[in-house]
Amino acid sequence: MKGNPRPQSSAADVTQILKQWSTGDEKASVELMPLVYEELRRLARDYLRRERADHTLQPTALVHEAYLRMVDVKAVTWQGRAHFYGIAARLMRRILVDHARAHNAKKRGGLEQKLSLDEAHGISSGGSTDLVALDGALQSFAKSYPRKSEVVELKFFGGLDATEIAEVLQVSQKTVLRDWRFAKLWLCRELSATG
Amino acid sequence: MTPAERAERVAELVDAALERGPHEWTAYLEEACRDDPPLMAEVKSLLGYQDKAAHFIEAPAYQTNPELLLLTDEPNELRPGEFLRGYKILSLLGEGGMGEVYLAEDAELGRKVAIKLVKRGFGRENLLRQFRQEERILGALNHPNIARLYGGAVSSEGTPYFLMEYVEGDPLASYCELHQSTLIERLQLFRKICSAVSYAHQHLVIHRDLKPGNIRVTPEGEPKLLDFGIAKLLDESSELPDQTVTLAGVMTPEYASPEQVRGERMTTASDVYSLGVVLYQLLTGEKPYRLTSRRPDEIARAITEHAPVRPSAVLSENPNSKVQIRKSIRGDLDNIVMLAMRKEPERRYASVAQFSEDIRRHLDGLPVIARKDTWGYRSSKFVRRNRLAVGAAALILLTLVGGIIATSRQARIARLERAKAERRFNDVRKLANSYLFELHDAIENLPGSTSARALLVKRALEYLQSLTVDMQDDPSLQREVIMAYLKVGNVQGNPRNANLGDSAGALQSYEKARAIAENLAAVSADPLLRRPLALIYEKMADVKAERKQVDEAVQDARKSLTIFRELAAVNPTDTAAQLSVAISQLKVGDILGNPNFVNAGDQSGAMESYQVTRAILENLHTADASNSRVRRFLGMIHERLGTMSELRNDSAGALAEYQKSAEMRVPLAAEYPNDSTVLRDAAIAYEKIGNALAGQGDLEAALENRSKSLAIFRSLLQADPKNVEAQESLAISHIHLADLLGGPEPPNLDRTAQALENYREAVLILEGIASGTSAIQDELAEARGKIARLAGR
Repeated sequence: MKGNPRPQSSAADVTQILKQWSTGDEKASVELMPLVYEELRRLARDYLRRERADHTLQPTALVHEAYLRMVDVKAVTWQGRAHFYGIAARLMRRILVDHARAHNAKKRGGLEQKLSLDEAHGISSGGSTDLVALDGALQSFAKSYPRKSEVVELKFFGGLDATEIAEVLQVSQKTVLRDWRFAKLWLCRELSATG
Repeated sequence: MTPAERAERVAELVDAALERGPHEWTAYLEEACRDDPPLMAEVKSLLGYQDKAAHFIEAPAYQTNPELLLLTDEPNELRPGEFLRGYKILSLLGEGGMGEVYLAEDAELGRKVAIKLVKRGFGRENLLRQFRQEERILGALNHPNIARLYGGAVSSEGTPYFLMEYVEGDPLASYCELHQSTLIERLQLFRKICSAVSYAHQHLVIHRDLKPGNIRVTPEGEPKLLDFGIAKLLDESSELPDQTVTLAGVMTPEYASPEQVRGERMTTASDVYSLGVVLYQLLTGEKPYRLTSRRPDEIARAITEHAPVRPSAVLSENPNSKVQIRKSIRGDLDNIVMLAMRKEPERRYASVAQFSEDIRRHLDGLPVIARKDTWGYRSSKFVRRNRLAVGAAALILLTLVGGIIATSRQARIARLERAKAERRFNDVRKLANSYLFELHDAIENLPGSTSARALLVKRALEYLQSLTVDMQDDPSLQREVIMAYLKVGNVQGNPRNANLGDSAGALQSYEKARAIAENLAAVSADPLLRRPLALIYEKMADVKAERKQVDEAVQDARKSLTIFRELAAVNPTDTAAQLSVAISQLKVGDILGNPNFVNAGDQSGAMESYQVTRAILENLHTADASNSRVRRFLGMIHERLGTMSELRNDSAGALAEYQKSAEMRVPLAAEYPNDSTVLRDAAIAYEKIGNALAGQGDLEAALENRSKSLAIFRSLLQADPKNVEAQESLAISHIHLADLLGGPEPPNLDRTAQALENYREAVLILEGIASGTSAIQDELAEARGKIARLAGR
């Protein structure tokens, strides 16, 4: 059996990249993405295990956890942290929506039944937010309201709170809350119409 | 306006409208969008979603859809062709919550096995040790419908795995689907499953994780149960507290029983429940609870709280279901499923065999056990019906309440269905109070019920406490908690009632009650809220005196008195409040210097206190001569005063007080011939008069009074022949009478024969209860000794 080694993204690397980015090096984001992506997926698995185990829904944002694990916090400015959060939330969105899409495909293909020595994961189809549809709606929303759609990404996918979002987007908290309120109305209407 | 500007304007207007109340929207928007009706329509349309959007995407996606986090494309541990110990991996069979399951071949035996890796989960390290313990039991499960467990081991990388019989075939649900199984075929298949579970139960193995995915059907149509005993191993090897483990172990919580969800002990009844869910799905093709999310707290709430839709009703909703099937399910099969799936384990089928038998009866057209359940079933009724039940019944009740609590908490955590949660909250509170006051009081005088009472009171307290967490500001609830602590303390160690002898524990409980009561009294001007505080100090004084902490006991008794006085001052015409002051004052006197109690040796203080008591009581008696409580305490205070006179060697004064005491007590005894306390009081009054008369040398008059006393003690015993205390009292009364008639020591009436008769009577009674207290043994020895001395003359 092969082991499952921790991704070799040392805090120093990530910290260095964030520093470069803060000084205006946009390429840095490209380097950062795969590292953060791996870490988030790993954390996601841990998170789920934990969630299943103690079954308290911790408000811990995975994004925070990734940040604390990957970055030498003392060495990074607030801009660095904002960059990191922004990227991480986007990646969380990608991970979750990709999984939702894969899950839907599996269901259509009837694969689920073959899988089910443990009855796969017992996923119920109804109820929880259809992330694929939401992702689509969010893309349309972003055309008219780019900043507001980022608020949704940071909050819903990234799990960040208003203060953090305000920092990432460089706006006031009040603006964040208004954006969020409006985005919910808009997306809710969009999904009601298509669903 | 450019489209971007227009979008911005829409957002601005929505914001502005939301800053106002909905009733102002129309006016505001008509003004703001005067020349642009489409703009207004757009804004209004968005505002129309305000309610719907309230809970929309509020929680982060990975919380509402946690299953998506599991669908990572993590590389598989093993690939076809690789070897794990002596097993060649053939293919991946599936992926479960704990890890992958592989099909492998035993290179030596050439037999196919399933290998289940346990990659995730807590306490993996303990798993194997646990397995070794259970191996004999699990390995011995040899039933055609149970997949064999061959063994367990750890890979060279440290991953535990199980080797199991490989079952070729389809999961139960897909098998029935593929073969278009008829209702009867499904039921017969299900009965085979039951026989396997029943077999395991006879071998003391509970499955704990029964679900359609764990049941495969071979091409020959034989069902096979997988993973027997695995769930238990996973649970028990974990080091997490029980409750957390259970949900962790259950990867598909829809099949978990309510007790499992609550983290309570799982029994064969839990398997009955899960089989009920399996049958439900066999009949309807659907899961019993319509879950709107995968949030564990919501699932738990559904399982512990919601009644599943009846199977026939599910089918009526489905346009594709055949009317024929629906009809055959309605009635018996509905009832059978619902009986198996009842929330309370003890109300389900008693065994899987009984469950299966009921299905057979249905198939044979015979009447079934299962009847329609009334969901209005209330546990409080159960309490009422079984008020006198102690022990086992009480424990069942405790379980019931625990359940309601768990669910009401869940409901409140979810902040949904608030009204319902509150109703349940009140149910729990009612039940806790029923424990405290109805059940507890009903069994209070039952011999040997002390520990049952302790348990009842303790549980009731726990329930009340769990309620107070969310209800900090509800004074009436706090009052109940205070009273609960008081009762706990009394049962633990208050010498004034049957207790467990734990006086330190009693003081701790009283102290807790005091802390809450002080807070309560501090935040509220309502003087009545101070009453519990007075009661607490009184009880503390009892226990501290018993512990020989006399000075502290006096202080507490005085604190209690002060509060009772304050309360009485608020309402001077309230007889009950005045009487409370009198009783409290009497207790202060007892503790200060009454030789019959643990006391501080302050006799003049005691006298003073008793005089005050008497004055209050006489005032009350003058105001209302018919008040029997006042009369009773007047009888008591005169007895106390008589004792103090004796202490001063004032035998004439003592006699006068005892006679006053009898004047109160004897008529009361005539009025309340069934009240044992009142009768006992009268008997004691005669006894005391007899003592005083004997002290003055009037032996004949003393004899008359002691005879009256004995007659009352005898009638008390006749009313309650098994009462040990009544037996002891009568025996002592015989001894005292005998002493006077012709005991070995003067003064006496020299009637030796009668004296011997009474001593023998006492011996006879005491021998019947000699296994009791050392006091009884002392009395027995005394009577025997006196008989011997008389005989030896």
